[in-house]
Amino acid sequence: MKLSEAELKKETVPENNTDKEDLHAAFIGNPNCGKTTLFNAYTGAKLKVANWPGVTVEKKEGAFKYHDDEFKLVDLPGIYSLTSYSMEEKLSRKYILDDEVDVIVDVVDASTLERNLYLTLQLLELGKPVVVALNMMDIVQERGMEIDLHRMPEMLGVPVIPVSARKKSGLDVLIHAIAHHSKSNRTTVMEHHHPSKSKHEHNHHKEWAMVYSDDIEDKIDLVAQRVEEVYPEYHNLRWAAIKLLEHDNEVMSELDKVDISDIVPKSLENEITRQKYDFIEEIMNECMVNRENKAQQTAKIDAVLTHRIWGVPIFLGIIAAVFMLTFSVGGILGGVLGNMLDAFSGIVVSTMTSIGVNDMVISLIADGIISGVGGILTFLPNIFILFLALAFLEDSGYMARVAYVMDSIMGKLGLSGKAFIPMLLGFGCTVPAIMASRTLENQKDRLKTILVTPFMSCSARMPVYVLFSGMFFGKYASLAAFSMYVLGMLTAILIAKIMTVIEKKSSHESASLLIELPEYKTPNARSIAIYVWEKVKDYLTKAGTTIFVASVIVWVMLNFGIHGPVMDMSNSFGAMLGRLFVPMLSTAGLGYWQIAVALISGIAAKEVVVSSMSVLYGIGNISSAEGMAEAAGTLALAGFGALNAYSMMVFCLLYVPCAASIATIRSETKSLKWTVFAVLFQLGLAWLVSTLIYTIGGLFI
Amino acid sequence: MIVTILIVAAIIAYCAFVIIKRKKSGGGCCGDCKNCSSCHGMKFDK
Repeated sequence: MKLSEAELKKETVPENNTDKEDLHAAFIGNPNCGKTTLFNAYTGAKLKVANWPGVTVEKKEGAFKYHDDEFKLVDLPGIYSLTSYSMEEKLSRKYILDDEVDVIVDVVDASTLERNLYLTLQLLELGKPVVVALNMMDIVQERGMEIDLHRMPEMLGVPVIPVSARKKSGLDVLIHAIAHHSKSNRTTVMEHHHPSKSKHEHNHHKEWAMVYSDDIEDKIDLVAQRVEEVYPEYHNLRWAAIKLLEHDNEVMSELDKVDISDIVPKSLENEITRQKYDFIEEIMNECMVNRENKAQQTAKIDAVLTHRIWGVPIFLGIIAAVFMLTFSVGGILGGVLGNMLDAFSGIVVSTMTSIGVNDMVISLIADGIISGVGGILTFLPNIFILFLALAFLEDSGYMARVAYVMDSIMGKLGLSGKAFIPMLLGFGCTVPAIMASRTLENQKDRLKTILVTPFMSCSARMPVYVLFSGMFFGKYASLAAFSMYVLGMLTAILIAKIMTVIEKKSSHESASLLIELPEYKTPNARSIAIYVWEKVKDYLTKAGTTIFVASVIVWVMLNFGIHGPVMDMSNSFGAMLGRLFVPMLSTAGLGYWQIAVALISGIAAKEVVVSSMSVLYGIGNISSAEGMAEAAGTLALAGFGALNAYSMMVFCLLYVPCAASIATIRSETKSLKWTVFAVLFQLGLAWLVSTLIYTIGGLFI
Repeated sequence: MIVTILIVAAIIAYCAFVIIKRKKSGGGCCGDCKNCSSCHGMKFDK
């Protein structure tokens, strides 16, 4: 929001900011805390914001007028601390240390206050005017907690202003505070409840919010004195002294003439960090109302859900419940949609016949497009319920626990628990799951995760499972489909282990998992509605685009041959292509040209396997009980039974992911060689496992 | 006859439009925008 001139003039002129020079305010904070949204709200800019840390990678400047005062606002890349290593972190640090900045606006995500306050404490040590903008207060309230906005400024010694960058509330108050505090580095009141046992000669509690133990404070004073002696013009003595105690490379090289080896022979960084977190804990206890109660509730639930032994079975139980619900309720709703589709198809055919449309075109529309796209649309209720359940689990705070629960297992396999996060996302869609592997620091771990993530059953495979398990497994259909999800996870884990053994990498080398476990909360209806709608929209878009085109292509391939249109599909181009793969697929019980065509077309998108089956067998409503019985009957006549169906489901689970996933693997790995390897590996594994299942299963059936 | 031709032309035009649009977007998802939530409903923050 750009505040209008008229609105701004309603405000009073800040008393202590009477000069007409530009006031430079720098927005700084942890990644993804809403700095850019706040910056956009003030300047009217439309910089890209996303729910993803690291969106801002360079500083952005904007001008803003408040009454008669000109403000220069700077949006900086997010950082977690002032001890920075990456390019954008260095940029942020350098800018705020620069004299040009009049006020530091520390944007704090109130919902992750504990983590954000670490940077706040470091900023306060700079001795520059700081205003804390407490963003995302609505999330704190949703979690049943409150922040004491009277006590927090007392403890930090700077103004704390609640804002909502998204709802554009509190913006006027914040800009007012920035104007008022541009000449002052703290509020007049700073009150701590520390026990007064200090023997240190200065009472730093009057000057600084963060005061360390006497031992550290003595060292800070000594080092500061030494810096002043060598660099008398250096004005930020306390900050420089603390950084020197931490053995900060940049500050040490900048102040290289100061010898402190007798005072601090080794870095005190860990001790300084620990004491900062002690103070943060103090702030949290005093300012976060109802935190203890919420934390106790969370701890009680966690004692069960993240139990060392029961954690994994509970996770599998929850996932099983989700899929049972998806199949049972989704099946009923899918039947209703299927009947509507049948009626629609009938109307279209009779209308086109009455206006004299060519029979071939009627077949294209009815048997190709309506069967193909409609066949996919009947699975919409299943997709809806699946994502409703996943959104519920994610918003309640459970999903983060799953990664934690799996950490020990992943560690034994030589992978970090962090690698399980992309794998979890893979239940939704493989594309963002592969992209989420960016969070892994180790390149080998990342490639390994990219290779195994497609084995997690994405939502596009669900129609395949519903169809084949529904056709051949009767009352055990849900169980057969659920086994695919378990098999996918087991395959991913097993492959990761084998690769680790091949690399001869010790499991101890894997990176440890550092994940924030939020308090459990009642899921927010709006968040869930948005999440589910995005998924449903994605599915409908895919049905109307990729699956539409794929259905047309499959229909053409099956209705045309070398000599033009064919009456018998076995003479078509599709049949010719499919027969090429029959010898290879026959060992897995899939030696049918129709199955080969469905699998090839499934590379465009996995749902196309189902739409191809609709087109291949000319069944409009293949997901209905009648449609499934008809398709099963036709397949059974060709000798395709339950074991073949299970083998087909396994092949669909493991063979190459869709075209979009392949493109993502290529862009993420930036290696054509690796992409080709991944595709061939997945194809080979799918064939091997399906063949094993079909062969071993054949011994018992 | 005309209706048949029009229907076939419309289907071909639509398929071409979908393929060209998909090709332009780099196969559906390039991952560069980092705004995955808009297409995939994902959350990457917490």
